[in-house]
Amino acid sequence: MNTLPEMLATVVKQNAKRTAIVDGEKVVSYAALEERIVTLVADLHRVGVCPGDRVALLLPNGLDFVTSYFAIVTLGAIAVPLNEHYQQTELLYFLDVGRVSLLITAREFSRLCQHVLSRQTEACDVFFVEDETQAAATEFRFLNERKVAIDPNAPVMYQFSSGSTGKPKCIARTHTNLLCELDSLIQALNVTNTDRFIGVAPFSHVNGLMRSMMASIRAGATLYPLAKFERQAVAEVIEQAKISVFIAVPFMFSMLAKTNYRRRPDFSSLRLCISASAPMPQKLNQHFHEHFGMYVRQLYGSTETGTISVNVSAAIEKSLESVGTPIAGVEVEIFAENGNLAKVGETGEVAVKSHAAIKSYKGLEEVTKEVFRDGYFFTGDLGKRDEDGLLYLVGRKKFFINKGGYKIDPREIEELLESHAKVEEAVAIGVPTTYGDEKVKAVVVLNGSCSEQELIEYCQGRIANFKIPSVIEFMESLPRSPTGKIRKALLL
Amino acid sequence: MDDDARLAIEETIKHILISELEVSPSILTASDSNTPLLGRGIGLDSMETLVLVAGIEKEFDIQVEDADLTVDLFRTIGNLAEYVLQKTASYNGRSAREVSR
Repeated sequence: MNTLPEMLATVVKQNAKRTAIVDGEKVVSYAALEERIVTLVADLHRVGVCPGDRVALLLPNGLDFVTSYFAIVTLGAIAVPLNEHYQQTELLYFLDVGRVSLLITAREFSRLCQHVLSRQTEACDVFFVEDETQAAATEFRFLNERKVAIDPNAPVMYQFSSGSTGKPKCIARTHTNLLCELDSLIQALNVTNTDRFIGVAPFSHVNGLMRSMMASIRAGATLYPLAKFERQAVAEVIEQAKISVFIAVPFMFSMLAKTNYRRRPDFSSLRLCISASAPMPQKLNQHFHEHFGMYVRQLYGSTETGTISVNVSAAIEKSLESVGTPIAGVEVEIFAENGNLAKVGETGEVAVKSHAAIKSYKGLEEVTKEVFRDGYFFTGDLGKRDEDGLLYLVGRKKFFINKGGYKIDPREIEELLESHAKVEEAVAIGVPTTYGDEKVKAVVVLNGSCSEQELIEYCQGRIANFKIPSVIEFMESLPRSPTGKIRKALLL
Repeated sequence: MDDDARLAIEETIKHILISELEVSPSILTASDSNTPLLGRGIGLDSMETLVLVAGIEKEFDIQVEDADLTVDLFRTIGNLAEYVLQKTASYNGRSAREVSR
């Protein structure tokens, strides 16, 4: 079992009659899921998808996403999941960097896709999942006979990572990378085919994709995908479907705890609540526990490495802020500022060695040299270990804004604001909120008369809504250190 | 009477926007019933609308249904206040009926 198609075939064989996915009214067994995938494989083959082609997915969480993802990888092509909140400019960038030749989407995005593809210089077709047809029996035979030989070390998925500098980097992970991560993750969480996952974190992001969608499929468990985060719908699914594994972001746990229910939902079926993509503040965790009787465990990972660690400690109430210990196959070291290994309790940069991690950034030699050293990926996260070996994250060496689990490169916002004729200089920062999130704040130096409203309107349609500053402040000049570095802490 | 109640609700919504979402008071001073909560108005995104709704639920002791969370609900501050007014009225009516049984 060296590739994702082989993994799927094994899981289907072992769990053919078990329910794979419940998407609203659609209840699909593993055998039926495989049939759907084969049908779409035939469709994609018919429109010319070949091994190594890049095929983007612009779809909400759901059965169509799962089917499309596995159809792409079955053909030996590379899946490129894209955030459905992206706007034209962002989509154009990702289609271009990923050299995408086909975009699989739903009719609800057809207008956006038409606009984007009309501006795309490279040839890229669009495929609407609703248009799928039943593959003829001859095509099934053809596909079965023509098994695509897939190199386990070939890229299977492109994702994009925010960095400290420049635009998002393309992360090419291989079949081996993903299978290593999934096997270790399932072992760490003790997931079996009797588990029921709710899939509400976006599948376009590493968290929702690997830890909900893929982990559920890998274990032969049942996945309940939800296209968007709606509080009562999530609570209802957890209660009625007796969900056992709930992997999300702090904002979602926070909102569920803050909701005014007529009748408090019964979450007693949950055996694991796991938060990733952003730190889960202890106060919010306590709040969630008061409402639902269980604590949220923290998981640590990155797009480059996959899952690094998870807190599965039996005494979770004593280590709520810890991201736990590394999962199998992952080695974590903390390097102090002087380059030596940090002592217990000493803060340093977290470095990771893992078979699930990428080894370089394609086409970015300088950045690769900077962060991939001595077999480690230097995460840019600052962390420390306690006497029990539990890992705690204490900050970031690299700076970005974390909004609802989405990492935002502040330079992207700054560059957009600075492209406005009236803006001399701009700085974007993340300001912590009371609900465990960060809001985007921009501080702007103008060279002409301009209002906050005008700048917000300028951002609209150019970047995803979640990146648009909630607050824009104006200053005569930015506070700087003697060396000229902007003192961002003074702008909070 | 309803107009007064609606205006009072609008003030509470503005208070929640300041306390929970840290919206600049200067933006709210310049706002009125017709100010949009999304996009070109206050500029809330989908996550921030949920924070606002959670604040409203707590303040008015009501439950806002998922199905009601449409773009139209956040069309203006006045529109959201009208929704809250109707919701509180229906809750009060329900309570009154429950008591009379």
